[in-house]
Amino acid sequence: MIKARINQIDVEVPEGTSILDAARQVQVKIPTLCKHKDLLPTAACGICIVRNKGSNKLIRSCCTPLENDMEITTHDHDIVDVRRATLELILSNHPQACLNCGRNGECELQSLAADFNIPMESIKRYVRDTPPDTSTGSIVIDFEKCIKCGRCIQVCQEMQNVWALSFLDRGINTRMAPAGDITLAESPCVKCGQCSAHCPTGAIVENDETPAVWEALHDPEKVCVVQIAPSVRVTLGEAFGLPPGTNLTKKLYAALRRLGFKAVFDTNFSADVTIVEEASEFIQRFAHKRGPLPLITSCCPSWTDFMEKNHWDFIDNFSTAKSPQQILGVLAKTYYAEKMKIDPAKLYMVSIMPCTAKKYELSRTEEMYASGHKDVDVSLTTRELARMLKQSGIDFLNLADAEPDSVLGEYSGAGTIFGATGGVMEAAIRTAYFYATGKKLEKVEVDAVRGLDGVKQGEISVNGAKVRVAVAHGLANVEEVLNRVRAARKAGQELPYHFIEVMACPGGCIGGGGQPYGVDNKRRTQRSAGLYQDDRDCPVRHSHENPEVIRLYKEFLGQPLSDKAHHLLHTQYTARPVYQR
Amino acid sequence: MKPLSRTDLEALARSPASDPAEWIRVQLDTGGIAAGAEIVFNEINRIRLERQLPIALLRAGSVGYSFADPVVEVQARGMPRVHYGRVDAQVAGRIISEHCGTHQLVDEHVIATRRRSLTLTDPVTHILVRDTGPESGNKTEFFQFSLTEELKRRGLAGKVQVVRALDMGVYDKGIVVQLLPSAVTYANVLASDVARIVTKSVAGGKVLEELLWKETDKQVRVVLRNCGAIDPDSLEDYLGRAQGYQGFRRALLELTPEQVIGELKASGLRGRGGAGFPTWLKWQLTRAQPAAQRYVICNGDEGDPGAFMDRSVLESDPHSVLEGMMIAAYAMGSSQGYFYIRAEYPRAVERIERAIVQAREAGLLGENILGTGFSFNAKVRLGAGAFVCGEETALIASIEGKRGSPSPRPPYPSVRGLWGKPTAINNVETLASVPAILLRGGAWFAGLGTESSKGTKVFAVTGKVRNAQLVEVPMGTTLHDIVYDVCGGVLDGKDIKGVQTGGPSGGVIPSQHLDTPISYETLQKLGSIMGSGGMLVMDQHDSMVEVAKFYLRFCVDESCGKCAPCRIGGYQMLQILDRISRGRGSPADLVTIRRICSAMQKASLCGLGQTAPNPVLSTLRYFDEEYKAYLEGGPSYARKMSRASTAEPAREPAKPAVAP
Amino acid sequence: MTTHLPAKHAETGGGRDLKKADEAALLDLLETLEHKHGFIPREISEELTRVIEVRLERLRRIQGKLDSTIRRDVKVHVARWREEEGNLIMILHAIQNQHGYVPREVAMELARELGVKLARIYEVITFYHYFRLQPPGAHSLTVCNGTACYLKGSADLLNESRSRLGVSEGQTTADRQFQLEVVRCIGCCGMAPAVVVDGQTHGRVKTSDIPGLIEAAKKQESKK
Repeated sequence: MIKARINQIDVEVPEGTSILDAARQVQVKIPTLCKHKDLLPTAACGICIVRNKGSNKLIRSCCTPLENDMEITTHDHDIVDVRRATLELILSNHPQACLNCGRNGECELQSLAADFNIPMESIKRYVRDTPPDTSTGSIVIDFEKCIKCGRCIQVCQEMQNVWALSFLDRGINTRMAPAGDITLAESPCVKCGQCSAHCPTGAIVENDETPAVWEALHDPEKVCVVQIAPSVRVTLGEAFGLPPGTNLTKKLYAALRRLGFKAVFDTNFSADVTIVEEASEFIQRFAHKRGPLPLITSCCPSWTDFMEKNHWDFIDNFSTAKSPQQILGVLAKTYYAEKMKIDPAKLYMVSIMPCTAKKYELSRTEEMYASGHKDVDVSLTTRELARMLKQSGIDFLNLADAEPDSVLGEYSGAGTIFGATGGVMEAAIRTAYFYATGKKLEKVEVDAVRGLDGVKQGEISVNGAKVRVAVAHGLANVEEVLNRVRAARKAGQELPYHFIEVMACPGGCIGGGGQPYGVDNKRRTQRSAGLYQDDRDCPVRHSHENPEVIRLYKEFLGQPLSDKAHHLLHTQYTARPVYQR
Repeated sequence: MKPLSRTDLEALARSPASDPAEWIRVQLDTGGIAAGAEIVFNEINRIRLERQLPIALLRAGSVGYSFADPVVEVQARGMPRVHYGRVDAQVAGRIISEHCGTHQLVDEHVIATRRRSLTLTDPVTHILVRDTGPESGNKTEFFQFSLTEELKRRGLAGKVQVVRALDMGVYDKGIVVQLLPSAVTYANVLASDVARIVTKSVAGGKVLEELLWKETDKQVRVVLRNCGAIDPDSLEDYLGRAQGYQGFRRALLELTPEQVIGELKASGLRGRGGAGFPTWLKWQLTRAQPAAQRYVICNGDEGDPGAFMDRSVLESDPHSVLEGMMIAAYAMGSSQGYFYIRAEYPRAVERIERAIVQAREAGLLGENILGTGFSFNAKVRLGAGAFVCGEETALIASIEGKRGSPSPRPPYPSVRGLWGKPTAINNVETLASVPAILLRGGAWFAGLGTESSKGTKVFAVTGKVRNAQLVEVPMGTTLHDIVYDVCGGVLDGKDIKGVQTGGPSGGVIPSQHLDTPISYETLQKLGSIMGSGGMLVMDQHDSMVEVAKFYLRFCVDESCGKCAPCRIGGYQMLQILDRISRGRGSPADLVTIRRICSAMQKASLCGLGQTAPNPVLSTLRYFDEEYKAYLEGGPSYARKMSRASTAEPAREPAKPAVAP
Repeated sequence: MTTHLPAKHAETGGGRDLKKADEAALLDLLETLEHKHGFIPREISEELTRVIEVRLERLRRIQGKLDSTIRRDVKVHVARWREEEGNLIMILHAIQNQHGYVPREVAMELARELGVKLARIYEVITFYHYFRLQPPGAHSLTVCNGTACYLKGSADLLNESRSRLGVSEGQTTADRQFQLEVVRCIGCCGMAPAVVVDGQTHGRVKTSDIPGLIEAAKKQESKK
């Protein structure tokens, strides 16, 4: 343990703890613009400087480990003055367009500037005119607002192994951009949006599609319906000051109705459908040896995009079952529309997702139009929904609980845990076990696939056969798992895994790129806990036991993997090598 | 070359090789070649072959006389050995026919030797003469004429030749005369002295004490000891004529690594790259780290505009840098070294690469060197145009093939450096000093210089100086001595305003502080730094605001852009300075500048940003009134004000000190 | 059909503008024909298809050849440095020595061959001023801006060069004849201010010398 003093307060921390973290332990807040809890310090902003006694130099607290007998001062006249001057410099290189910025009110730079009460500009503003990149339709990069903290680049390169963003040029011309003069859409970007979730300013934000949704809601010709993703129920509260993990499912139903949606569905329902299809697929491949193993989950659009761009040798291993968002979309415009006698052309399906890539998934392939229309019209992130609710004047937190709309609203505990890493696997195991054995698992919780370890592995005994599963989240963890499979294939050995779940974002959807800001592992754990609690609270905890799912197959689809199911609920993948230009 | 054995090396130490009787050595470094040294070399070679002359034609690096490039050194039978400067093909022809043929020195091109004698040991054969006073009243030709006439009168006309020298090595001392071959030098010679010189000294062999210039050269050549004297492409030359690899031999065969570090500690050598960290300590810290591999890196990414000593040493004496690296590697237990050299220095790269190949062939690099069990290899890595890569952590990133952005310290490179292994990074000049220290002992080196700063330092003196050149002086020499006694003072006899040391990280030292003895500490006290050793001389007409702007622009161009204070601070300060220099500044700008300076100094991640404000701060400190003049009346008024102290008419464009 | 040839090779078609003109003329012709006959006569459309096919085939061949040359060259460079750690910069040096710049196709091939992300390669190329992403001009004029040259008027030389060539430093003239560069210091401080034209250093240069230096370099080319 290291013993030292910070602002004359004794502090004891494990060796290697940064001064910044040590200070937090004794309730001393050192401001920083570049350090993020998820990431290694980049030492870029120069705001977190402190002084060690006996030294003239100021040191960066984010990347300097506390040493024994240090006597750190975090705030004195000189330090604050240097901090202020540095902040003024950063602001002099940043547009003053706060009022119409996507981060207004939630911007780390803005709030720091407010704390420091930076007066009228003392240093003349210099911002290089650069048009924003809107090419992906998922994420918008406003290069002018970038403060070069390097978070997004670390996220994109190290955490996600995507390498769409890079630092180009140097000095005052340093910029964050895809390699060469190409757009983000032409880059290896998989639209996961982790960059936007980690950006301290409004330089990277989700493509705001709330105007389109408002317009649709006000359009008397349209019948607006909505679905909410599993994880959204436990994260939305953060935007309204509630602790992470607070489950707001029923208030959300009520609020969405008040917003003007004619029907409120739950993506948890279609998650159950996905599981029924996917578990059936697994049984086909595992028990009946029809199709290659391992089976790999495909409900994360960033992951499928990443696979198509980088690991297309695994195309045949992908579950062809569509993601819950798309399944709900197509069922709404077929099954529900038929049932309710609504012209599907008039149906306007909005999805509330934790995710920026879901915006891309809407038109990923022609199968996304299986209903004969665009199955899901618009996908909003949790952040966009929060803004809509705030604009609507709905006292969201004090609404009475409401129920979802039938036939696409009821869900099982297995559907709700889709939102956490390992959740899809756990849900699939519950159902697949039943399909294979005709029995329920003795213990429905599969602890081996829960938690925040980057790669999780487990083994389930099914009819005496061992089913080996792996769960990876955070795209940087994928390669390790795939390489193990490749190595075994090459060596002609037994496969290391039969079933693999991958979620692009660390923590799974609860850590999605469209979730409320301020994500770190603590929040990921709290949000997951909210979902697992929801699972426990569910009377039905197996997807195949969801009464509405059973009804769906009985009335509409027939059997899992039936022709109709294939037509509506399945998709395919193609190799899309990166850098065509 | 066949691999050397211990006994071969020992034999070479005892009996160095001897020179051929007659030779011409052409200094083929980048500066020389740019000035036409290759043309000169080819011309000499052509004539030599054509006339089948028994004159050896040799290659060398630069002795440092940049102002006189291309420089050629000639040794002919019966002639004093001399350097010729500003040689072209025509002069080369004359050197062969006159100097080597008729034993006449070539007028206007001789650079007088700095090794002046106080006694006339040999009969006078040639007299060099030059008026070292102001250019305007040049009396050189008059004195050449009167000396010649006087010699004629004494019947010595055929025996003694009087030539006008290109440079005398003594400045501002009126007419200076040097009697060759002894090199007895007279200063402040008057017309009335001509007769005495001829009768007493030339004819009588007596030294005229009252005219004798007794001051010895201020320069001491340790780092530059072989520069211009040996063929940089020849290991034989280095081994045979420059005690090559004898320092390494001593370290490897006679000393333990601890003893080598001890010798370095005794020498007091401090890093010559700028910060002045004790070299022995750096080695010791690296050695102390438990690791399977340690690296030694030679930082040859010389980036200061106007500093070219590293290039010159690498081009002129590559083996001594390599030898220094090998000694360092032995001392700290490293088996792999890297030379990180600017790609803009292709000749330095080529020569160091050749040196590595030669040393490997000779068995001085590789496995189990000289049978001692010590193994070491060296490789070259190219820089690619980033000044910031002079910073150690950025340099390491660059060798690793990444963007050369600095990373926070700790961990220091001596703990976690290249590829996470303990790494010591030494500058070219530092490494070139090491073999000399091993050869002559740490105590000898410590005998040079001052209490805190030992040894010698090479400076590249440029700007408004009469003789732009490389200078090597003991620490403690004053700036005044360097500028006036070694480099001949300010161009065109103008008044000096100041000297910028340390390049873009340094500051301007105003004329009133020129008498300060140079050391790491004294320069820092004056608001500048030693830096790598660039020295820019500025005269009364140079605008300090413009100079500060020049250096700041350099730092802005070279900022890696990683940290906000340096990236934005430098740029914004440059904008403000630019406004001021165009007469559009306001007094508030100076306040903002100081605030930005403070933020950059204190909150920048690396040395580049922390020191970038130095040129601005030091000019603000010493030339505050110039900034104010810009604020008050704009550039033209400021120029007038800055000139006010010197009563001179508007200046003409600067002319070279010596007509070519 | 889109082909992205490096600028060096793109000249084969006679420049983009000419191609556009060709295209426009052809479309005009077709329109007239259609107007006249109400349709495009079969023999004409067949002939057109044939011509286009031939063109296309030729383009594909060039592209294919180009690709295989690039692949071969990159393989050679990578083979030389494969075993060395931190080899990226050294390979980029080799590529630039070969092409005069780092063509995007080559960088992409290098990314594949070396297993390094293209983003990393671009991060490095754009950080170091020595590397270029655009082909260099036929001639180069480099003004030294070391301190010695600066004090002796390199700024004026640079201004003159800028206005004579009509480009700023780091750029190449539209006709790709001249590129203007500024260098930190070429180490010829003894002959300041210095200018390097096509590798040849000129010392003690005056502003009035610049036009002559440019003209002389241009003539050098026409002699060849």
